[in-house]
Amino acid sequence: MLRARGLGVTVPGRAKGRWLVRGLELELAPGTVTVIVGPNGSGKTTLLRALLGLIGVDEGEVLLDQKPLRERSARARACACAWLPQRTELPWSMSASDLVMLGRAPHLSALAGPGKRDREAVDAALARVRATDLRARDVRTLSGGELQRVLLARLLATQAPLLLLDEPTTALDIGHALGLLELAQELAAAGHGVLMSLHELELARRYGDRALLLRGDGEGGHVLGPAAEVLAPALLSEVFEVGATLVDGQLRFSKTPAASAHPAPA
Amino acid sequence: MKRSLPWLIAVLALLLAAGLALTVGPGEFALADVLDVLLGKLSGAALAPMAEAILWQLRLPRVLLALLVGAGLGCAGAVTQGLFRNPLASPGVLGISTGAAATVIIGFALGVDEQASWMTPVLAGAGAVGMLVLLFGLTARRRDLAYLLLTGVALNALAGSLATVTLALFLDRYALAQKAMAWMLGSFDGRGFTQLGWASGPIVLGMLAAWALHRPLDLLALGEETAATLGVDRGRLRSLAAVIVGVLVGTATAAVGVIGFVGLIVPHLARSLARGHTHARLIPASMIIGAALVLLVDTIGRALTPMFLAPGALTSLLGGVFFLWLLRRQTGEGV
Repeated sequence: MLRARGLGVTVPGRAKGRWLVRGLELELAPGTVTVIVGPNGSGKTTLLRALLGLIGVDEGEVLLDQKPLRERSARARACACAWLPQRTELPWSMSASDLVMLGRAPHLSALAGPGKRDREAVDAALARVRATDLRARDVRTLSGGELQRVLLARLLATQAPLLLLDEPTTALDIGHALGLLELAQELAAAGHGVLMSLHELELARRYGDRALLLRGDGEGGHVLGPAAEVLAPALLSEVFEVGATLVDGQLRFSKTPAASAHPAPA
Repeated sequence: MKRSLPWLIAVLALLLAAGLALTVGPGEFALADVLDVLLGKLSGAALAPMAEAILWQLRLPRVLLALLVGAGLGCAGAVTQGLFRNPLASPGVLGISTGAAATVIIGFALGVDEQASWMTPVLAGAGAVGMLVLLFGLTARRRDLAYLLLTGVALNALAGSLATVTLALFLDRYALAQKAMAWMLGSFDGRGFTQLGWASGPIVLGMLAAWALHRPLDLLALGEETAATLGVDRGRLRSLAAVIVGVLVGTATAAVGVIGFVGLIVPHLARSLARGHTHARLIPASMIIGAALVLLVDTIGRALTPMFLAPGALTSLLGGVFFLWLLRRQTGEGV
């Protein structure tokens, strides 16, 4: 499984010394949904990219099945972790099933075409995200919600145990967002390990088993724990500089900074 | 069988077109005469010297060279578009062809092309690869469409002016200017078995190597980083593709001069014919269509003799219009 040990990552490309996360101990195990939350620019995407080995780390290491990630072959990494980036811009038209078939690449030899097993995996993946009827559609004509489901099917076709999703609900309306998060929960229940960054704190609290809160303080401060504990009003109002309360088990936010959280006299 | 049938038909149609192209030109030859000469030559029978000279010595190598160059340029176009994830990218638009032309003209001016027959293709290949290296370097930070195209335009102008400056420096050498001009226009005139001999090896190898890259090129459609998470080694893919495009464009350019826009037009036609964007089909389809297009252009040029119409000029004319149409369509989609 994927494990971060003493992981430290700084802001890429700019002056060193601004830590996005530091001293992170995180283990991704099958069967759970872990959500990453934090203010804009706190490094959610960068952390995901570091865990995937797309960028180097500044401290500590990422282990895949007890071995450092960079010692693993690209194919082994691809078979273990599948990634859904925040935005996917497709340069060409192609059918949804052709797109999902791209997820089979780590299982194919360089020159041979896909076989029966690959086509079955594609069908199963499309069925899993309830997109079987979209299979022949041109992906560039799909709505945002449909496209996101087909892209998720591409991850499932790889049959990687770990799914890393970067703000998968950003471009979706609330109905499709809830559908996608429920799907993520189902996939975790079926044995996948899901790690996703989320913008909506209330949704993160509802659908996450564990939460990793990045403070965005430049020192790499973070809190990792059960979602209900991490995504609690006190911590959130401190990190996001808003007023936060829990009403009927739901998070409510107001623009009042945490410091002036004293209720005004009625 | 069901899947290979369209390919079979396409290849047979191409062969028929090549046979017909052999009949075009002075001298009354029908398709049957062409077949007679080809079969007779292969079986070692005696032939009418006139027919042999025209069909076998002059036209056949020229037609084969047109097919070869067209297939190579079409293939290079498909690889370039896949690599830059961009339907407007092509060796011509990005200045890769001009880069190859510039180094060859500098080679002409310095007289190095007369030292060995492999010198011109090597120079052209180096020019093409050099332009790709510059492109990658300059667009490393920003990969959007406008920036890529503008960088290509700038590099194209730069390479073009390098060629012009070189020619201007040697303006007193009339023969050089004429040689360079004739070569720049892109033409199959006077090309024969010699060019076919040294160009076929690199172009065929380049096309095979390009096909071997079909899967990573497919994966790039998802974005470079996502492709990397599916096992694509970005750096390796880039250098391999650059060398392949360099070999294809360089060899083709060295053999017949600059034949512009083939790499831009062909993959689009291929994409609609190959239905979808799987490079395993797109690359061979681009080869077939590229071969057909260059054959057509050269044959039109020959049919219009004695009026001289360089194939390179004709493809640039077609390609320019096509590019504008494509640009309108692409920007209309909000890219």
